[in-house]
Amino acid sequence: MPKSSRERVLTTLEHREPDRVPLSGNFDTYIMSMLKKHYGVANSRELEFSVLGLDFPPPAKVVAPRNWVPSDDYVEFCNKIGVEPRSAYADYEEWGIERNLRKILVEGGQGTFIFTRHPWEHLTEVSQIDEVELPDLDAPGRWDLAEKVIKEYKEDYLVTGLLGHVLWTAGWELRGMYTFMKDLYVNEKMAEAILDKLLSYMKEVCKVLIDMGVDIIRVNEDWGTQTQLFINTNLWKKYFKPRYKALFNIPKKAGVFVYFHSDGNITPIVGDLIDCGIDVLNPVQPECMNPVEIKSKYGDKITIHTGCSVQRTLPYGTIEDVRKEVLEAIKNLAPGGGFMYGTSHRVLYGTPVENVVTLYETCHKYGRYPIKIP
Amino acid sequence: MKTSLSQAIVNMKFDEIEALVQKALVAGKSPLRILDELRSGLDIVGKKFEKQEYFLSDLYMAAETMKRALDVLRPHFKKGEIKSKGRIVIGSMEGDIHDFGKNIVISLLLSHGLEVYDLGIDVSPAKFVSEAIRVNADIIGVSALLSATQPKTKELIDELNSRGIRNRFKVILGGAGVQKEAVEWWGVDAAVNDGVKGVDIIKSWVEEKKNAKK
Repeated sequence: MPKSSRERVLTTLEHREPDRVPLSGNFDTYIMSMLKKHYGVANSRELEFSVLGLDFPPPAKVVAPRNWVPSDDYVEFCNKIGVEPRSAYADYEEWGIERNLRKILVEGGQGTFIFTRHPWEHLTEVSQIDEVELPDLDAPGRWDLAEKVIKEYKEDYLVTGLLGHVLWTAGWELRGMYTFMKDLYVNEKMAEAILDKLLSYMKEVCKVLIDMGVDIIRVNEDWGTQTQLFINTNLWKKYFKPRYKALFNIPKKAGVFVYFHSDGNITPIVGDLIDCGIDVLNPVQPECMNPVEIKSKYGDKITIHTGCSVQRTLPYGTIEDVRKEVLEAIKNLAPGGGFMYGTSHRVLYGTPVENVVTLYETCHKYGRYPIKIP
Repeated sequence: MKTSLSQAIVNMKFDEIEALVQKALVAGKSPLRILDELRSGLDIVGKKFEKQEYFLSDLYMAAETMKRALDVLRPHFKKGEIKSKGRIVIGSMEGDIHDFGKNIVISLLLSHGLEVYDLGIDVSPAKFVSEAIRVNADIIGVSALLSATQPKTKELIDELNSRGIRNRFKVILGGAGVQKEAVEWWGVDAAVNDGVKGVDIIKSWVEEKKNAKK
């Protein structure tokens, strides 16, 4: 008997085998339109859930308040790429992280824009950080989206509460990467003040989302370059590990799963992240990490949520290359559960749509338990 | 304990480097010798990065420390004492706004005596070519992180070919997601996913050119 998506994902998170491998997908607007055309469907929801069989609804997260008045530039930007202003990039707007919105780079490439101002970059005193007013979490409408998503999806799907960029990525977006990095070496008090300010805000967001009923708390912190961590692991352990532990302690105590996303090669800190309490690691980037090794070393402690390479196989490979990569992943990673699959990140403009179609067709054909790969 | 200039770079003594360089100058050490010592420190940093003992943040802080040292040292060189080792135009490909890696590479190239023309981000293939011609560059350095922007490198190569000047420039493509097959796909001379490797290749090219002139 087919399971609900909720049951499917829960089963794999509990390291048991569900009916099939749970699936995710991340497509830019161009690829999304090509997929709709390919399958002859009109709306994204039908494509994602009915056609591709994805298991992850949109996340519950903080949005801009109901009475918020966005700038004309921002509204025009959102209209151009087909996203909703209050939820799309409103956090950047509210925090004062400015981008050049008139120039959208790469066709269909939402999210690729030029940062033009990091609002905390020129602050010199810890007291200035202390005085910064953060967005009011009690503002009317702040939780509208979270409420809607939980109501609409909770029965059939596991609902993710998205904190987004919490410490590292939020830190450099606010402070500027060069300045923030330098702080970690020669301006310890400033680095600590920034991180503590962010941590206390994120803890609040986390508590509200859990009270509202999310099943997973997800953070997106891009820690890895293609070969290693952005910062020295000693600095990571000194500044970030204790704060992640403090943050993840909140969902852990509430019986809510912790989902950690980081691009790049973060192999050296996977054990530390597990110490901090993560349950799911994503995307275990296939071009630079070895998901099989991670599974064999940590597979009893975390669920691996990886995907077909968006840097290599999907854009540049053949249909056969895609099929081979997907089958290898299912064969090596799916047995025993603790495994979810999809695209390793957002599939970008220029990627052949037939490669994306092959990815999902292969998953549906061979991702059913018990796994039998020819 | 006495800290050598080379060690000061390796240990990223950002707050102390200015005083250390001043002290060496006062002690009568020649600016060129000081520069050599600083560069040897940066070479060690590069090697540590390749061995993954050092991270991007270490590379950045070492480059920043070097920059500070050079600011102190620069006024002490006699005119013409420092000769450019080679000329490179460098930028992030059209559609690409990532410049963190590119900027570190620039710091390393400057520290190693190359003349660098930074074209910034979102640079069109045509601009790479016109700027390379304008400044009479030896090398064109393309930074491209996204799978969607890397193929534009082919347009740059096509432009060089159509003008009949492909052989005038060495072209290197760099970026975290760059695959080694890019040499074949886009027709560049080298493709790297690691900035330090890229700097080594560029150094070997300018060395080759220098030897060929002899």
